[in-house]
Amino acid sequence: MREEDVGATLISILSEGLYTNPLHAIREYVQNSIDAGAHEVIIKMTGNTVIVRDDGCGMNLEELRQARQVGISRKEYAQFVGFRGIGIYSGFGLCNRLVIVTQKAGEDKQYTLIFDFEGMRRQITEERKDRSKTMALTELIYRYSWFEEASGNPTQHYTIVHLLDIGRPHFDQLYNVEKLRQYLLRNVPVDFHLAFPYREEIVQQLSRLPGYRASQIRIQADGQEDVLVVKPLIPNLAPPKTGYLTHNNKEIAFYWWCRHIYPERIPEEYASYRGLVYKLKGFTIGSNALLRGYFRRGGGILHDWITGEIYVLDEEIVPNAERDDFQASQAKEILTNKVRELVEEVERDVDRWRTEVRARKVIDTARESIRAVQEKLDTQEFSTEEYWDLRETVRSAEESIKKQMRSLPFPEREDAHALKRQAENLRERIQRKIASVHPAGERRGRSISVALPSTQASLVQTSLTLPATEPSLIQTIQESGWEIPTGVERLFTIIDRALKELLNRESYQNILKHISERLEEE
Amino acid sequence: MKVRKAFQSSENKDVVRRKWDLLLISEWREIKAQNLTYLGLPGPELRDLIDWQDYLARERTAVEGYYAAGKSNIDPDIQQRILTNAMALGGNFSSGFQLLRGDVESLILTGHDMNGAFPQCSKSRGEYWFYDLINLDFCGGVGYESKRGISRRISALKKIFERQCGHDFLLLLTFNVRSTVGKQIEEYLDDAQARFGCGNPRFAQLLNAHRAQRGNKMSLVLKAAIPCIIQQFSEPHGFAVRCYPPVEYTGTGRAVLVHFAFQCMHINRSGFPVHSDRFTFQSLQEILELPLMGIRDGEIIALEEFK
Repeated sequence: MREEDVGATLISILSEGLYTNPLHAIREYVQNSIDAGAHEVIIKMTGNTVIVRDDGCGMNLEELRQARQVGISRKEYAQFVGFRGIGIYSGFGLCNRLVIVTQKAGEDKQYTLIFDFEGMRRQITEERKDRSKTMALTELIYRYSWFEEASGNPTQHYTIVHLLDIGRPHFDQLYNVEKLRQYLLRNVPVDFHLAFPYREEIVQQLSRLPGYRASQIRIQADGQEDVLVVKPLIPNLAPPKTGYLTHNNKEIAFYWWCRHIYPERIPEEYASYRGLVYKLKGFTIGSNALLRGYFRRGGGILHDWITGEIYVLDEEIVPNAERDDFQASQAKEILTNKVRELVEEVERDVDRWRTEVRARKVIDTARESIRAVQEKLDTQEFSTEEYWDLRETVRSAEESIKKQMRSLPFPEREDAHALKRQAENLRERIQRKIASVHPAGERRGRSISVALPSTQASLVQTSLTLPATEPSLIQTIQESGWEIPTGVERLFTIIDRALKELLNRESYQNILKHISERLEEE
Repeated sequence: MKVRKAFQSSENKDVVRRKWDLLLISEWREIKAQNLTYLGLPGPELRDLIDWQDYLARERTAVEGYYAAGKSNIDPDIQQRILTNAMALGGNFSSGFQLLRGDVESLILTGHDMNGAFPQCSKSRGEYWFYDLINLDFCGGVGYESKRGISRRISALKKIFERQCGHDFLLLLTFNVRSTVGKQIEEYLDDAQARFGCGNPRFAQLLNAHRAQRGNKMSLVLKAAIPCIIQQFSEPHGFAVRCYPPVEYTGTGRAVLVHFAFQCMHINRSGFPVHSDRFTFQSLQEILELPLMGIRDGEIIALEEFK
C-alpha cells in the first residue's frame, strides 16, 4: 500500500469515532502525561481554551515527530495505557488548533508542534463535497501541522498541550469541574492524597507493578479555586493489608485494603470508595458495586467498613469496551474465584477484629460492675435481698467475661481471666454475707439499683437491675456481630415486645439463644 | 522549521517596571494589607507578573488582543505563547491566571472579552470589577479617535472608574506620545484652563507652559492632560486620586512613552462635586508642579522640575 492509498478522511473517522465525548479527549492527553512519568498534571481551563500541562520527561524533536504519526506507537502494551498511537488526535473534533509545546531535560531547545485542525476539517469537508479533491492522510497532516523551535531551559522538562478555540457546547461540558474530577478519578490513574498516612507504604508496593504510574491532577478553571484530583483522604483508616492473588505461582492481581478504625461504616461522603474496586493500569473497571455481592457476612455489612483496590496484573484479563467489567474468559473466572477467597479472608479478618472490639467493650462494662459492687460491699451493709441482687450482678458480669474472653488475644485474655477470678471471689464473699444474714439462703423480693459515680453508671445500673441477664432481641443480634441499620431498630423492638407477650420466659430465652446460635454460625 | 524568539522588552521599560512600579506596588500592597489582584496587559513574556509576583494575589487577569475592522481580535500565536509561558512557570503560577481575549478597550467598555468571558474579579456579569492593580500598558497614544471624534481609549478610561466603583485600586497607564493628543484631549485641557486658570494665575501659567510644548516635547502635554482626564473621570464615581510623577522613557523602536501611576481610593458612592479644582489629595496645580521623571544610566531621575 502506498501513502496515497490512505485518505485524509481516516483521521476524522478515527478520532471522532473514538472520542465521542470531549472528556475522552482530555483523558487521552492526561494519560499521555502520566505515561511520560508526570508527577503533577495541570488541566487549565481559561476562556475557550483547555491546557494540559505535565512535568513529565518532555520530548525532543525526534520524539515529537514520532508523536505526530498516526497509529504508530512505541509504547509497550504492558507498560503504558496509551499504545494505539492515535491519542494525540483526540482533540481533532474538539478544538480548532492543537499546540504541543515540549521541553526535555538537558535540551537547550523547546519544540512546538502545531495542528491546524480547523484547516484539516475544512479540507475533509471539501473532499466530501467534491471527490476530485481527495488528499492523502500524510499530505493532510504535513500541510496542516508544523514544527517550531525556540530557545529552551535545559533544567526544565514539561509538555504543554493547548486545545485552542474549543466550540461552545464542548467547552460548557468541560467546564463542569466536578464532573471532570469524577470522570478523571475513574478513568485515569490518580495518586493518593499526599496527606493519606499510608500513601508511601501502598505506593511503594504499587510502583513495583508493571505499568503502574499515577499523578496528582489539578484542575484550574477561571474564577474557581483549584481542584485537586486525588484519591480522597478518608479519615480514621487502620493500616493497610496488602498482598498478591496468585494462580499456579503466577501473580494475577495485587490488592490493598484498609478497614475503618472503629467498627462502623466508612462515611457516606466516601461511599463510592467503600469495599473493593478493580483497577487495571490505574483506571477503574466498573465500580465498587461490582464486588459488593462478594461480601456475605452480616448481610454484606462489612463491605462498607473497608476500602481497597485490586490491581489486575494478568494480561489475559481484558476489560470490556465500556470498562464496567472484564470480558468473559477463563482468566477472568480464575480471578473471580481468587477475589471471592480474598473477600472471605477480609471478612474473617474484620469479623475477628470486630469480635475483639465487642469483647473488650463487654469486659470493660463487667469490670466496672465488679468495681462498683466491690466498693459498695467495702463501705455498706445490705439486707439479704440486696445481697442477692449484688450477687446476681456479679454473676452476670462473670458470665459475660467468661463468654467474651475467648475472643481476645492472649495477653488480654490473661487479664480477663484474672478479672473473672476476681468476680468469683467477690461472688463467694457475697454468698458468705447472705449465709451470715439468712442461713436458708433463699431468694425473695425485687431488685435494687446501685448508683455509680462514673459515666458508666447507667450501664452498671442496668446490670444491677434484675433480671440483669435477660438480653433483648436487639442485644442478641448486636452481640452476634450483626448491625441493625438505623430505622429498623424500632421494627425489631416491636417484634421483641410481641415475642415477650406471646411466649413464657423460658421459651423467649430459648428463642433468643437459638437466634444467637444461628447468627454466630453465619 | 520556524524559529521563535522571545519578545524583547526594552531595557528602559524594565527599569520602570522594576525600580518605579515595584516601589509603588509594594507601597500599595502595604496600604491594602493583602496581595493585589491584577488586570493588565503583561504581554507574551508576562514580565509584569513575574517581576511583581511577590505582591500579587492568585487572581491575575491578562488581556491580549487588538482592535481591527470594527472588532476585537487575537493573534493565536501570541495567545498560545502567553499560555505556554504561564503554564511553564508551574502550577502555582498558572493557578488563578486568566487570559481574556480581545482589545482591552472593548473589554472595559463591554465588561467581557471577545468570547464572552468575564474578568474573574467581577460581579453582575462583568458590570462591576474589583481589581487592586490595573496596568494598561498601551502601545499607542491616548487619542485615536473614531469617526464621531471619540477616542475609544478615553471612553475606556472613563468606564474603568464606573466598573471599579467601590473598590480601591492602583492604576498604571502608559501612552506613546505619538498620535496622542486629539481634539478630545485638547478639549479637556481647554476646559481645565477655562475653569481654573482665571482664579489661579500660577495654574494657568503652568498649564500653558505644558501645552506650549506641543510639537516639541509631547510628554509634557500628556503630563498635563492625563491627570486632568483622570480627575474628571474618577471623582464622579467617588474616588480620591493620588497622582505620582509621570516617567518618560524610550521604548522599543525609539518610541517615546510616558508612564503614569494613580492611587485611586474610593471614598463614597455619592461622588464628589465635579469640576472641583482639587483632587482629594492634590490640587491640579500641585499635580502640574510634579516633576517629569526620566531614565538615565538605568536610574530614574527628575528630568524637569516645575516648582
